[in-house]
Amino acid sequence: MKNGVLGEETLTISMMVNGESVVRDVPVNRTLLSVLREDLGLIGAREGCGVGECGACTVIMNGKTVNACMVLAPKADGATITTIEGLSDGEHLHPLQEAFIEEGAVQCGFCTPGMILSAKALLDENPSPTRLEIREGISGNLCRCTGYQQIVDAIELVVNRTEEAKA
Amino acid sequence: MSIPHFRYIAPQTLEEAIGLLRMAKESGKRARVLAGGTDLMVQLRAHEITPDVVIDISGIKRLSRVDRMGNEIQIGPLVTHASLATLDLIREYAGVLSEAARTVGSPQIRNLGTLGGNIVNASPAADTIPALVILDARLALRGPEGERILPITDFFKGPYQTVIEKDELLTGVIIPLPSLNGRAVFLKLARRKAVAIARMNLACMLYYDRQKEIFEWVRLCVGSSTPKPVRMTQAEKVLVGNAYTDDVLQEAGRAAAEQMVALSGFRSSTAYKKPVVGDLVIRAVHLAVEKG
Ligand SMILES: Cc1cc2nc3c(=O)[nH]c(=O)nc-3n(C[C@H](O)[C@H](O)[C@H](O)COP(=O)(O)OP(=O)(O)OC[C@H]3O[C@@H](n4cnc5c(N)ncnc54)[C@H](O)[C@@H]3O)c2cc1C
Ligand code: FES
Ligand code: FES
Repeated sequence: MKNGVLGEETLTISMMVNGESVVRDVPVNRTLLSVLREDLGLIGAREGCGVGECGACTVIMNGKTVNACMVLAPKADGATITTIEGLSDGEHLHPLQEAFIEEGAVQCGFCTPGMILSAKALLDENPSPTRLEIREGISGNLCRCTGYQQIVDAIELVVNRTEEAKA
Repeated sequence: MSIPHFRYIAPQTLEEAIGLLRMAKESGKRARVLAGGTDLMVQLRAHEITPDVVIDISGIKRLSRVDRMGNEIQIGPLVTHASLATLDLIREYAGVLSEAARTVGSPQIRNLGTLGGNIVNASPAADTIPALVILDARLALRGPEGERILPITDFFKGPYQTVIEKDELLTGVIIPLPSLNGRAVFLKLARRKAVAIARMNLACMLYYDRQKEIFEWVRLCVGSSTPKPVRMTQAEKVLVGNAYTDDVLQEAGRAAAEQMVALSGFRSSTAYKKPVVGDLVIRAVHLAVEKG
């Protein structure tokens, strides 16, 4: 504490984002979402509602999906973060991305990055979910276009393909 | 909307955090504790709160623990809803809390939101509170003068109002292990965005003796229907010592509805909620008895 002042206005945060180490000075009142989009140019995570309701800003933080609009940037210090940009290797699409395209689960595409990350987190934890479990797994991601059917189909396609590959 | 300007600090120990809260209080600074942030970030964005300093307690490791100590379990306030929903210790000894946590928000919100935040925010619609009320939970609060422990029902003054002091932290939730092997149910009315009032939840725990054909004991708490969370004692009285019949269930539903009206007065939402409370109670008791 200096002269009765508590805390900092700007902090240096280091994170592992999509496998790369990143260090940035950020004002403490920013969100992880704004740092990803504005400072790191990772615009896959979208800002829909800004209040935790739509899931368009979903990223995986330390293995778990979170709404990046709800995470104050300093909270991401030391965290490992995966955004949609980290899923494909630049040449090949991730199996979920392929299946989403095949099943027509991408229409306007606004919800897609968050949706795919929720699906990835679900499958990482439970590789053979039921349709109901898939619905629950993506219940924090709103889609205005598809009515969810195609999205659930796409995730199920990945489940079936993974099982076939194993058999 | 933008987030207001504030300073940020992340203490790593409880002592440090309480020291900071005390310093803020003494110097007239508005401090806000930050846990998962799922309530706080919304309030910041709406400029409902404009703190001078945000004290992030999420690095205080001992506040994330769940321990069994003798006949109690101690849950740290930083335990997330996702953990409450899945941890064996909670599922086994406080199943109704697990069920309540499972209904919170979305997977993303459950990964961030904490038990302590849900309690201290004191929303009438908070899902873990009715569960904690019927589990006879006690809360440990820690301030510069030390610790005090109080029953959860003494913690709330009204919607979004609690007895916590500016320099106190919620440091633990203590749940006595149930001595009786009851059945528990948590019910929640689906949130319809257009009708915010339609949010209601209920926690129920009971033991029905099938040999004697009587309810041995019953605990009921309905959320977001009374100014402060309370047990539905009138309905509990109707059930205990009686058999599981339609008449008894209907009577319990009526008793719960009447107690709700008596406690909340005639607010605009009361007319809608009155029959719903009765139906919820009947459904919950039915489901709990059918569980075994
Ligand atoms: C989209 C969305 C959906 C939601 N759905 C639900 C739902 O279905 N059911 C439900 O019950 N809630 C719901 N919530 C509300 C919220 O997620 C929960 O109340 C959550 O448990 C809050 O915890 P937190 O750690 O995020 O709290 P924070 O936002 O960090 O804090 C909340 C309040 O508690 C104070 N606080 C936190 N921890 C402590 C402590 N240990 N000591 C002292 N003060 C403390 C903070 O200062 C703040 O005032 C929802 C929120 C969102 C955004
Ligand atoms: S932008 Fe984060 S949940 Fe909508
Ligand atoms: S594809 Fe348009 S919101 Fe989902």
